[in-house]
Amino acid sequence: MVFSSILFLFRFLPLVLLAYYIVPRAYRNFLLFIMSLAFYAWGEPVYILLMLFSTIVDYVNGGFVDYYLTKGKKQIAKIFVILSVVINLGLLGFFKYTNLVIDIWNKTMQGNVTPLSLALPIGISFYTFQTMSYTIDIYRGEAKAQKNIIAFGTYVSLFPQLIAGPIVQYKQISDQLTSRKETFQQFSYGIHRFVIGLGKKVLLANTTGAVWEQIKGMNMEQMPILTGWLGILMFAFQIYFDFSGYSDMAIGLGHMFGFHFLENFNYPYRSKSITEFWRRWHISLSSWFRDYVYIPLGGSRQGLGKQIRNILIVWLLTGIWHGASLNFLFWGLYFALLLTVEKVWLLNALKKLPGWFNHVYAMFFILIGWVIFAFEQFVEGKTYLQVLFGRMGTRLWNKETIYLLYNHGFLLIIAILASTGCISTWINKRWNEEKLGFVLVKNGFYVLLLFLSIAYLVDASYNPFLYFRF
Amino acid sequence: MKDKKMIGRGQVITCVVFLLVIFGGTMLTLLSKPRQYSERERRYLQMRPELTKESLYSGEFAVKYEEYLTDQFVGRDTFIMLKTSLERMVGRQDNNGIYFGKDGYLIEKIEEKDIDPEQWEKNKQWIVQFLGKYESILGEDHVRALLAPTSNYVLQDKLPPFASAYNQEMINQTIEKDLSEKVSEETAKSLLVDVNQTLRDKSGEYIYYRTDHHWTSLGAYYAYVQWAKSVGLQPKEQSEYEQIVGTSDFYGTFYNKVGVAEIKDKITLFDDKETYQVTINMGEKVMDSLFDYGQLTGDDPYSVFLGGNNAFVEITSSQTNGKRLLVVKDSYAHTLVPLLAHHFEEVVLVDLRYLNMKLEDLVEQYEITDLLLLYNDSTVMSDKNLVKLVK
Repeated sequence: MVFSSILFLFRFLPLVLLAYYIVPRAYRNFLLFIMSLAFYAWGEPVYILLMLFSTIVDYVNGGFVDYYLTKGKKQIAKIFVILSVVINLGLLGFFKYTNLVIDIWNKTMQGNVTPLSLALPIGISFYTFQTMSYTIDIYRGEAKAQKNIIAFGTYVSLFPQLIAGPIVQYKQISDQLTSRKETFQQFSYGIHRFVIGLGKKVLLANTTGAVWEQIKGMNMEQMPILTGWLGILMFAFQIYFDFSGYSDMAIGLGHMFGFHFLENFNYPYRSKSITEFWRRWHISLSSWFRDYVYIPLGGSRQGLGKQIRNILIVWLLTGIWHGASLNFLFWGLYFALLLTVEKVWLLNALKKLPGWFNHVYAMFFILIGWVIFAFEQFVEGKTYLQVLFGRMGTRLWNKETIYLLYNHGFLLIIAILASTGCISTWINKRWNEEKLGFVLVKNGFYVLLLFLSIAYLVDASYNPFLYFRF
Repeated sequence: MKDKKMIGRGQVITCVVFLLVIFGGTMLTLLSKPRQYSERERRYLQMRPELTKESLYSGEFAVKYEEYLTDQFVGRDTFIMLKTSLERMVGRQDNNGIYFGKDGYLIEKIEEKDIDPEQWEKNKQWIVQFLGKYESILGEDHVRALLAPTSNYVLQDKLPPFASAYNQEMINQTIEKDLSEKVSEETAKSLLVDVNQTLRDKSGEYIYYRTDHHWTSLGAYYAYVQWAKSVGLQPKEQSEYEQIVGTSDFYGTFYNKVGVAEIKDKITLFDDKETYQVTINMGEKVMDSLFDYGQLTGDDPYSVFLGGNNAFVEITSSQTNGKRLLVVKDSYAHTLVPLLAHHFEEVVLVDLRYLNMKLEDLVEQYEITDLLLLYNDSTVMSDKNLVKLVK
C-alpha cells in the first residue's frame, strides 16, 4: 500500500487512528505491528512471511548479542552480529541482486541461466538496513536489546517508514518504542507534515514526473537541447518531491502515533557543492553508511589514501543500493569522484567564487547525475547526455519546447520555489505571528492542499511508486 | 510560543478539519450507493470486488478494490473537474491527451511516444499488400483506400498556441511510395484517395466535431466527393441530401476524456431519401433506414449512423446495377457510407476486429465488385487487426 492513495486516506488511516487511540496504551504496539503487517501484505501477501522471518531472526540474534555481551564474551557476540548481517544482506542480495548477477554472467560468460521471476519485496532495502542497525547498535552498546518481541516487531514493520524510509536506526527510536507520549501538539504537527508531504507527492512529483515521462518518450535523435534540459530538470523535481514527500508523510504519520523520526531531506537543491548536497539528500541513508560502513572502515582518520578508498566503497554501495542495475553503480562512482575532487581541492577553490556560481556548479553536476540515474540502459543515458551538450546536432529549441514551457512554466516556478524552501521561509516569517487570521489562512492552505491532492488521486492517471527498485 | 491559547486554537482547527475530512470522507464512501456506469466518462465503473481466497492471495482483490474506491469516490466527477479547472488556470492546454483548442474545439494530442513504429510499419505493409492484391482481382478503379486525417492535422489553426499537429499527410505519402514499388506510380496514386488537402481547404467549416474524435457528415461529404470522382462516379450535390439535425446536445468522446466542453456539438444527418434495408450482424437487427434514430438519446449519439460499431453490416438499396461494395472500416465510415450507398446495389461493412473469416472468401461469397478501405489516421497507425487484411 502507498500513502498517496484513496485506499490509505479513506480506509487504512482512519481505521488505524481510531483503533490506536481506542485501545489501552499497553496494546498500542501490538496494534501498530498487526496493522503494519496488513499494510505490507496488501497486494503482496506472501512477503508477510519474509517480514516475520526478519523480525524473529533479528530478535533472536539481538538477544544472543546482548546475552554474550553481558557475559563478557565479546567474540561470541560478534558472531551473532555477523550472522545477522549475513542473513540480512543475504535476503537483500537474493531478492534484489540475483538477476543482476545472472544477467552479467550471461552477458560476459555467454552463460544461459534463466533469470528468477521474483518481485522485489517492497521496502526490503529499508527494513534490512534497519534490522542490521539493531544488532550492531546492541553490540556497540549504543542500545539495549529489546526484550519484547512485539515492540521489536513494531520497529521492524512500522508502516510509516516501512516502504520508503527514512531509515530509522534502532538507537534513535529504542526509547520511543516502549515509552512514548502522544500529544495533541504532536498530532497536529504530524497532520501538517503529512498533508505537505501528500501535496509534494501528488501535486508536484506526479505532475513533474508526467512531463519527464513525456520528454523521455520523445525521439532523442531530434530532441532540442533545451527540451532535454527541461526534461532532466523535471526528473530532478519528480524524484525530490516524491522522495521527500514520502519522508514528510512518514515523519508526519510517525508524529500522529507519538514517534519522532529524524529529518531525511533538507532542501538539497539549495546546495553549493556536491558535498553539501549529500548532507541534505536522503540523510538517513548517508548517515547509515557513515555510521556502519565509512567510520568502521576508518573514515578520514587514516590518511587521504584510505579516506578516498572509503569514499569509493561507500558510494559504490550507495549507488547499487538504489537499484540492481549497473547505471546505479556508475552513479555512485560518479559521486565518489566528485566528492573526492571536492575534498582534495575544489571545495576550497569554490569558497573564493561567488555564491550563485557555486549553486550553478552544484546543480549542474546533480542534474548530470540524474541522467545517469534515470536511464537503466547505458546507451540511452549516453544519447541523452549528447542531447544536453548539443552533440546530437539538434536545434536549441523548437515549437514543442515553447509549448512545454508555456504549459508547465507555472509548475516549474512552483517546483523551484518549493524545493529551495523559498515559499516556506517566506511563509514562516509571517506565520510565526500567532494571530487567528494567520492560523486560519494556514489551515485553509492545508485544507486546499488536501482537497487538491484528493482530486488528483481520484483522477489518477499517473501515480507511480518510484522505490520498487530500492 | 507567546500565547499558548492561540496556538491551541490553531492546532484544534487543524486536527478537527483533518479528522473531519478523512473520517467524513470514509463515512460518505461507505454510505454512498455505487454507480454501475458513468455517463460523463462513458465507461463502466468498478464495483466492489468479491473477496475470495484466490483473489486475495494473487493480489487481484487489492488492485480491483483500489480501483473500486477511486471509481466510486464521493463527488468523483466534481473532483476531476476541479483538477482540470486548476490545470487550465495555471496554463495547461491539454488534459488526458486532449488539447483545449480554439473556438471550443477539443483536439486529440498525438505524440511520438504514442506511436509504435513497429506496428505502423507492419500496418503499412499489410495495407500495401492488400491494395495490390485486390486491385489485381477486382480491376482498375474498383479498389480505393481512404485514410482520413483527424482534426489534429486538419484543424491546425484551432490548436492551442505552440501546439504541434502530427504530420498525418506522411501516412498517405509513405504508403503511396511503398505501393509504387509494387504497382505503377500512376496506379499507386489512384489507389489512395488523399483527402488531406481537400479537408484542409475546408477547415473553416464544421467538418469535425468539437467534442468528439469523428468527422461530421459535412467532413465526410467532402471526402465522399473526392472518392466518387476517383472511381468515376458522379457524386450527389450537397443539396440533393436532406440535412436533418439529429441532436444539438452531443457530447462526444473527447468530452468524456476531459469532462469539460465549451460548446456542444450538433449531429446533422445527410439523408438521400432513398429506401434501404440495413441488416446488422446477419439479422441480429434489421432497419429500414441508414440512421438508427433511437441512438440519438442514448449515451453514444454518434451510433445514429448505421447503428454504431458492429461486426458485419449489409445495406441493400433499391438499385439493381449489380455493383457490390465492400467497406473495410473503422467508425469514420459510418458517416460516409450513408452518402455513397445509393451508388450500389449492396454495401457490406466489416469491422476487422470481429471478422472471423478470410476477407478473400467474403469477397467471393458476396460477389463484391468494389472495395473501399476506410480508416482514420489514428487507427491506421495503431490498429492491431490490420493483419486480417492479408490473411
